[in-house]
Amino acid sequence: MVGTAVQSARRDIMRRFGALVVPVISLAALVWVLFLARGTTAQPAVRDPGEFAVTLLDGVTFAGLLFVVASGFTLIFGLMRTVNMAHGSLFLLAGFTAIALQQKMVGKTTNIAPEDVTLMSWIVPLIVAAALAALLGVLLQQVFLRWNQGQELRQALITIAISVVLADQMLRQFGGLAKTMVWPGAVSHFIEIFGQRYATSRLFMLAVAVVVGVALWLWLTKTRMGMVIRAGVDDEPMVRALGINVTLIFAVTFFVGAFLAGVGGVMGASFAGAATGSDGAWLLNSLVVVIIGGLGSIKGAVAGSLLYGLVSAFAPVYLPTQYTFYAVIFSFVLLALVLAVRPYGLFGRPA
Amino acid sequence: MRPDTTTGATSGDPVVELRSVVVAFGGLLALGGVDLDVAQGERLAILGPNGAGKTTLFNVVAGDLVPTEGSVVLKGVDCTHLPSRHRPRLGVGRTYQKARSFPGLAVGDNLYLAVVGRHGRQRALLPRSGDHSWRDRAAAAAESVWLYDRLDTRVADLSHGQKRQLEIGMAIVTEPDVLLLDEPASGLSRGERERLTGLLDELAADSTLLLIEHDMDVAFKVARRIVVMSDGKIVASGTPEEIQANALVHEIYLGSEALT
Repeated sequence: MVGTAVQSARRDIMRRFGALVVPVISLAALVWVLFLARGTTAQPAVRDPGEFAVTLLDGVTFAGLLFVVASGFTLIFGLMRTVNMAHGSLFLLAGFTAIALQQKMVGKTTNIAPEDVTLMSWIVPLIVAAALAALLGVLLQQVFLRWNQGQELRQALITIAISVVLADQMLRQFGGLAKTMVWPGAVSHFIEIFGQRYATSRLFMLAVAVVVGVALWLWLTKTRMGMVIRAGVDDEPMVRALGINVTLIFAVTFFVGAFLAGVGGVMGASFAGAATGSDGAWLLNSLVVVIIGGLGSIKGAVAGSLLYGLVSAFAPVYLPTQYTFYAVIFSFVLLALVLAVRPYGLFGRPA
Repeated sequence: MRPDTTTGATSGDPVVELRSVVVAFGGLLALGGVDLDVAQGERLAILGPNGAGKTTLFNVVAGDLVPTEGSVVLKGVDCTHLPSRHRPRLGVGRTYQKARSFPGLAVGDNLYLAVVGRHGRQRALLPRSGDHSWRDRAAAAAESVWLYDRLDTRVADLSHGQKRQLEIGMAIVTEPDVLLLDEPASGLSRGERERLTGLLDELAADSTLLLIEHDMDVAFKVARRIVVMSDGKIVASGTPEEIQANALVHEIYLGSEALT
């Protein structure tokens, strides 16, 4: 009894501490960015709104990509409690596949200019590659994970093994050099924002993310299957006890989650290129986003993506130049802060 | 009405038949050979101290637990090894000791999902336009458990008593022939208990009710037959009056508790 009292007192202190610390840190960061920003490459935002606006857009558009990838990850975890460590591999596989397909459609393998790329020769590879990732995801789930439902550690280890195998096979098939998917010419322009040039392809990426997010939201809230999935996130054994076919729901959810990894992979390949190693990096990105937002919550994936995207865009620009190398640490500072205040993430609940 | 229910038990036929059911958890004998027949339309309450095996017995009937030995026959169908997700289609509905529903969903959606599960075939999950009758059934069930004005309220925002009401609604919306209620009155206020008793009394005459209950008022009012369990065995069975008069029952379970 005494132990629980101490624990609850500690939790209370942490909550109050968090309620105080989070606004203070946010305010300090805002003041720094708006008025001070000493010794940085950028001017304070009030004097150089262009730099600020561009950094903000960088953060939000990157958040769009993060959301697409992480929403698939969190959907699978939320319903099945499966931590799919092969999520990054599905991401990279879709990226490589889409690049190969685009090269076929355009008819060139090198020096593809945006003018060569029609909207179709971006969207068709996107859908085909994402469908491939989705089918592979369902195959993984049916062949390896179905029999280990509820054994979280075993499932994580199986998916790690699969990601190692997939990484080697992709290296063999696509080679070790980074490749890039080319944005369609129709969206490869620049616009002026406060005197700064900004690539419309990044805004296009954000638009795709918004479309994906809205479609996901409509599916989860307006359809019968979406309702069953939300119920399953709440209490999966109870859905089973009601007599609903959970096996089918699991397969569909894995399909959609892997499809989202694929869509993200194609967007990522267009945005930053596809290369050996980005599978691991994007698995880590997804993990960071969903840990910040709360595992299993789509709302959390939105919030986590925005926070992580903004911090990783602002840190390198608004840190004093001699500290720019440490910018990457700030993503993990964000993670540590969120976990200290809300151990289950912003929208997470205890399992 | 129920195309997926093939057996047509007439009133008085046993709908639940347990034959020497044994459940062992490792070395612990939770049920030590239980025989129980429940006829259609019967109102049966199971009493017994904590650890007597009441909930284990429920889990066996509901299919959440496969017995170590013995057989479970529901409406003439051997269900010993039939998983719980097939039970709603056989007409078995249950509630849990701790109220279980989907806190993130609205009351209406919870009831609706229970209807979906009753029709739980593959295509029941596909979107269809003609599901108004399912929605209507959900609304009717909400009305019978006094939650009609809460159809759009998230379950997380309901009171404990309302959650209990909802859970019973989710069980009766499937029009079960056998309804298993695990301590439906626990945590309810006096007024809520009276409403619950009224609700259970109003159930269709041919639906069978199995009830685990600690609250004597509710158990003795609702049940026509009472079974007393102790240490995984049935030690007494009879009408409420017989049980109240049974000295053995007083000794093992009721103890010093006054029966009023």
